[in-house]
Amino acid sequence: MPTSRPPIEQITHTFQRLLAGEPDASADLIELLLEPLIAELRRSVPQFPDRDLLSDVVTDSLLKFVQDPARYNADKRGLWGFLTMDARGDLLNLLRAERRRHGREIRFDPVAHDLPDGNSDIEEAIVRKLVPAGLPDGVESEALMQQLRTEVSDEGDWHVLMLMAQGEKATAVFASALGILDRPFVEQQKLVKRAKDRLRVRLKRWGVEIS
Amino acid sequence: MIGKPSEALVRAARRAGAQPFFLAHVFAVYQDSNNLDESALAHLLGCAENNLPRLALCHRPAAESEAFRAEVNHLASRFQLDSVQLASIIRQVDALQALRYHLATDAQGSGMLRAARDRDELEQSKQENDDD
Repeated sequence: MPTSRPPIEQITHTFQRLLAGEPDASADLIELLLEPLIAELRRSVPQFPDRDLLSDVVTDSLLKFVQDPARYNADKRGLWGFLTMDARGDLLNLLRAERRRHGREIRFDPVAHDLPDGNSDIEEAIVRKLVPAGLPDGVESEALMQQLRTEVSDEGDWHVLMLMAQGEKATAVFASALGILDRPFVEQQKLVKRAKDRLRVRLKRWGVEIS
Repeated sequence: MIGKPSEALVRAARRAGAQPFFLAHVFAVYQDSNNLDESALAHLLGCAENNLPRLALCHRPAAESEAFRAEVNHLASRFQLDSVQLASIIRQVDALQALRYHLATDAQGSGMLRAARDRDELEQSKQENDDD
């Protein structure tokens, strides 16, 4: 089972064929990426309890993607990063749904593109994690979240913030959020640390201290 | 490409059977209605059984599209299969699904008509009782 990311040129070429409407491009892209993606997600979401289910979720994520490849924006991140983030979002959504179903602790979704606006449970949970000492008088959770969202407008940074608030420690998870999983691990560590430090400085002005 | 497909790819092809975008969906319907296993389907298409999951994960050519013949030929050339047979299977499944859809909507329509008739009869019966 190939467990490492295929060469970028090969991914890009197959993706271009998919965009061009070649009928066998979907099969080729799936064959090229499915197993490396499964391996990557097994590494980056180790808390996911069921390996077969993880494979199915990643598979469905890829099956969904090849039907609508135009939703990928090459200006934002590499395709590999996009697909790992997409699959990771699906996995975490499933985890969250399962936890809710079992009435366990509700954990908010660190993948911000799925955060429903105005979900006060999630906002409260984030704010509690970010500002454990409590908000100053007169400051509402919703207002703080809006300010944060304005302050942290970059999607990658927002994902990093959500992961920090969740207490995530794994570099690979942050690297996945930033779409830099294709970089060498040492470089990932540096970039992740830089992103976290930048966020800490920017958010301090809102009274938000993140560890 | 005729190497043995990975287990994950075979599994993906099966999951794709539920999604009309993929040829897997066409094959699932066709196999089901003709009681064929994968080996028999591969034989019918004239392609290597190892390639069936790959073929199943291809985009289903749309019979009503101008590109239909070109896409079928593209797939036939790529997977060394019988293009006439592939086109025929796609068209048969399209016809079968259109028929099923027609029957389902017809049955639904009949059901609504029947319900309307029952309601009319009930109201008429009530009216007659009131008149008595």
